[in-house]
Amino acid sequence: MQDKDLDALFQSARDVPDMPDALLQQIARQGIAAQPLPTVARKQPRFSLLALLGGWRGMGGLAAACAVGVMIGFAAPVTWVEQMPVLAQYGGAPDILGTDMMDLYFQGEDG
Amino acid sequence: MDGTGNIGLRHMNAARDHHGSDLLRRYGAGDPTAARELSALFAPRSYALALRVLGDRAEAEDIAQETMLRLWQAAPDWHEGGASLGTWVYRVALNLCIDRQRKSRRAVTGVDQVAEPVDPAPSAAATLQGKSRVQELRAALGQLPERQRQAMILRHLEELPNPEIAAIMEISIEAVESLTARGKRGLKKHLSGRQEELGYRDD
Repeated sequence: MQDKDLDALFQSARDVPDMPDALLQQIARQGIAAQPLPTVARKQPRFSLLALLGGWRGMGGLAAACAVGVMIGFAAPVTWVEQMPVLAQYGGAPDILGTDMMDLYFQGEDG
Repeated sequence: MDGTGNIGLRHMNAARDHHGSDLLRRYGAGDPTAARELSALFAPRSYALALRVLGDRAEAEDIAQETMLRLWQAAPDWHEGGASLGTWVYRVALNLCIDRQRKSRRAVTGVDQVAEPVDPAPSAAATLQGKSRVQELRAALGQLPERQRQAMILRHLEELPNPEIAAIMEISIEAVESLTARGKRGLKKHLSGRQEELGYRDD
């Protein structure tokens, strides 16, 4: 067998379809679920919003990003800048909890 | 059609050691974009490697997922100065593939679990013949001793340079060269008997 024949065989074997996008997304979600909590420097909130919502893990990624948006209201400005990538990834705090509930949280800040 | 699968690690390492460590640091700090970037960087390559070696999409998906799971688990203990992240991922993915082959061989007592290629008649469709060729290659690779097989996979399926192969397999470059030389001889020996059926007749 010639080298070129072997090379041609290997070339055929190399040509494979791309990974399905759904799998990539699933893997990324698993990575997010497995990683430590983001470190956030913040003042003490008036009430424990995270505990109320069941913690980061209990809420899942999107809802967690929403909570970050709420926490930013409590935190110092420098923290908000640090959290920008997180929000940007989710396209800003999503309306997943509903506008009414968001109002409720912010009412707590003023009341 | 190859997409990201065929880029290989030769564009990844050395200069990108920093990049990998930086991504892991951000991952460890809880940054979800780092999780997404790490996934995009390594999952497709793991999948492509597994699909090339095993020829089965479901198994390739398992391997990619398992490889990344191990990455997430290893992230907290990752230290610089060891293997680059790309090297580490390749090593894990390849070993998972070899393990999978070993297990499937044990499950089918005594016989390599490879489908008999369809004997192509002169008028057989090119794709049919193409599939048989690749199956033959996988069967022949499966006949090689494990280390030769690994070296041949990394050299000829993944097209990695010898220094990268040496890093992945944790051997010297000379050892890689020896393994690939022997692997090539072994493959030719296994395959030459099937040459007629693979369509290498002079026309």
